Amino acid sequence: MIVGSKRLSADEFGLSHAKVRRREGGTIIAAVLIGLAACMARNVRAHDSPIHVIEAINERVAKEGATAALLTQRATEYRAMGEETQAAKDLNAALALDSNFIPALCSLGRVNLSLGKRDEAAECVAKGLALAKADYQKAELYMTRSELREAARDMQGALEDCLHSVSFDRGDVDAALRLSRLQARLGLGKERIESLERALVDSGGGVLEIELIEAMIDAGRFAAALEKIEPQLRDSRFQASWLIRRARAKQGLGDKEGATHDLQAAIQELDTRISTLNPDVTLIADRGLANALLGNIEKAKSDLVLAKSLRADGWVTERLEGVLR
Amino acid sequence: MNRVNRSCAAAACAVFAALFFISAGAKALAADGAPGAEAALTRGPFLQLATPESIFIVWRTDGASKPVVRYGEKADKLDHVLEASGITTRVSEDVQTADSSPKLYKMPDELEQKRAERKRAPASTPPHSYQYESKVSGLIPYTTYYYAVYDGGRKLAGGEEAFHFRTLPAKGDSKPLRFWVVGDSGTGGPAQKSVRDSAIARVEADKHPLDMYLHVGDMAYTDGTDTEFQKTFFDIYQSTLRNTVCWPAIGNHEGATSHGSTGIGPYFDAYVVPTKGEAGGVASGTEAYYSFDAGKIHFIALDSHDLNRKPTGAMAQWLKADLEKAKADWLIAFWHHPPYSKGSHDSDKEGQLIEMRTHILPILEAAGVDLVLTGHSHIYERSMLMDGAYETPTVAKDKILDDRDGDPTGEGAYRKSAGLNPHEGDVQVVAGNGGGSMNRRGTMPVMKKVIVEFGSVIVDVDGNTLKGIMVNKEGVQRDLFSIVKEGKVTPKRMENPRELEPFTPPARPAGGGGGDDSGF
Repeated sequence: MIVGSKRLSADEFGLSHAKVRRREGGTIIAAVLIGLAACMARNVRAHDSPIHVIEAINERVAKEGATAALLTQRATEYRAMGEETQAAKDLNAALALDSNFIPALCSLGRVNLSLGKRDEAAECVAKGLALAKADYQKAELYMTRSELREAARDMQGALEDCLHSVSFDRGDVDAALRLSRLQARLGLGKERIESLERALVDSGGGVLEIELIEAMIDAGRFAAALEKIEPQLRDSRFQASWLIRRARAKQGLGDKEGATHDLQAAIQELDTRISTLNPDVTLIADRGLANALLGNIEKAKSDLVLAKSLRADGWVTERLEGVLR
Repeated sequence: MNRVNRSCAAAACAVFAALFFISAGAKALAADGAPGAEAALTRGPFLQLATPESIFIVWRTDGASKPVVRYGEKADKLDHVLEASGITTRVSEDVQTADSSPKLYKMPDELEQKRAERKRAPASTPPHSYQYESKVSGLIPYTTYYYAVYDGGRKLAGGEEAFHFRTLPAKGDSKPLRFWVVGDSGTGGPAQKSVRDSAIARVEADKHPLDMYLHVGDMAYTDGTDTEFQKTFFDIYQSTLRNTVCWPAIGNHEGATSHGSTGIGPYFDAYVVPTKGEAGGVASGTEAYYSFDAGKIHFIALDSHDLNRKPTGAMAQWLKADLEKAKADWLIAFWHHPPYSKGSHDSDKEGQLIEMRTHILPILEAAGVDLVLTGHSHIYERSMLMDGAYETPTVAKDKILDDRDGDPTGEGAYRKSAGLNPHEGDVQVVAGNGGGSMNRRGTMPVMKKVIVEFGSVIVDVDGNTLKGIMVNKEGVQRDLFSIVKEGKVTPKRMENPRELEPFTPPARPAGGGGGDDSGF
């Protein structure tokens, strides 16, 4: 029996061994800095909390003076505690010491984005892109600019930057999902399916398969989607999300009665799973969508309001909002 | 440190790094270059990715060898053979192979140089390393096998009673299962060894061997380098790892050199975990998070360290999809950063902890999770039966479904309905007391037990009963809790659950928390 390689090597990924990727809400570069700065601040005990790491860096700065790396590390710790304003202060100070320090530029781009300072974020990203040499840095910076452009409602620009980012960063499921959602917003159904099929080859995984089925329904390939949905339904303990997908496909094929049956069954299941106290926003969005597809507009709107009151991300409620529009 | 001293240190470290590689290279030459030279075993053999019908046997050698696995149902009759063609070989960066074998981790030179400047040992895989990953298939569920690994005809290890494993029971089979939970252990210090020894002693005294070992992260301080993995994980736990699969979750210290989004780094070299749903569950497409079935338990391991934790992120989307498919009686999830803790970390203040609580727990609790195992915070904390506590700061009011101690010999076990049911409550265990220094900074309102002692957790699942104990490093059982699932239970939220006394930490001593000589 031949057993294949359990994972792609860095070379197979088309990456250097230095390859590191975008991290949520920050930069992978900052992550590398965690290790480096942890080495630098040796009086920091290895398992201290961000508060203690900050204390140790403060001591170090007081004793030896600030460096761009130390200040960037301290900013990372502030970000871990959600103190973005303090992080921005440190990152700006880091850049005052070394204006070409790419980790600080990447991180400040993210921080400014989260603080709503889009112009400052764009400036950081532009400077970072001019300096960046490594693919992982470019991927990170393009993704930040994609999010900036999305925030500015420049969806075409957001898509272009996302495509750039993905080209430097194959195999990242989060990036593939983001690309798919941008393509969906721009109505690029065919391109979306192609991107997802490529991403499935690169990284595999059930999430991309689900996204591909959604893309097929969105693109009107209802019968092909149904073929993929049926075995998933048979294999599921909780069926609501698959029942909703099947209902959308059935609606597309004109089977209104079958769709109604599925949507009612989905709502029934979701009602048992949605806690009256602190419900899961994704389930609320699913129920809202089922209600919207059934024509229960008031109930759907009520679920949308509830999901938003629970601070649901725009991507979670997007499909529901689309149907309600 | 002044500039001169820093330069001296850097030079010394460069020399140290050079010696490390020269030494390893010399060994490699001896292994490959000299006639009759023999590759030496440098890691393992150890077990990975078990299913009811298969298991991976993994080992490393210094220098090339001709890998062979022999196995069978009797220690003295290993009548099945798996040869090189069925074994994946991965090699260190310096090794060139005819078939372009996948590579083990090499840190970029500029980062390695920075480590050397700071007197840190190299992070890359030692040169001339060969790692063999052999999938033994066609096994009978819940059956004991013995094995040995060879270099051609020369036995490297095994072929005796100590080298055995038992395959997992078939999915849905209600065989009793026992697993060991360890967190934040990777110091290589005396506390880690005592914790190990006390757990082994307990298992032996019970005459009830482990079926699995779950590590909730931080198994290799300080940076999760290949060498640190060897010294603080593989060397320490070898007697367990050769018989028991360790299912890992990445910790922040492993995250210094390994990255969840790429699956590259010493952590990912150390383990073989499912990515394609091969042990049950939905394919994750990554080794950073995964799931597997063992009898009537569905386990989920997550990466709380460096991946997107939001509901729209790939990990949360995968989790939701996986939970929709999970058909088991028990659901157990584990990862590194605790949703609830006032140990060395504060879940009311730190982003990763808050996000796991606010984004991930709602998905798990809506699917009926029973037990959540974490670490990161160097303490033992165990909750009451709870549900829906996602706010910051955490409060107990209306979030506790049973404020008793959960001890079947005390106030009584927690009760849930049979099967998996949403929002019937779960027990949260922070098992970050595996070997790093201990620290407590307060009392998390949802906790029933807070113990500032080194130790680890042993969990037994037998039919409708789950029982967990915390054994400290002296071998004393310091906590016992149980969940019994039968009939129909209607959960009731408690408006005024009994809470533990508040705790005010003493002034922090200079340099950290203390409690162990490891410095971690």
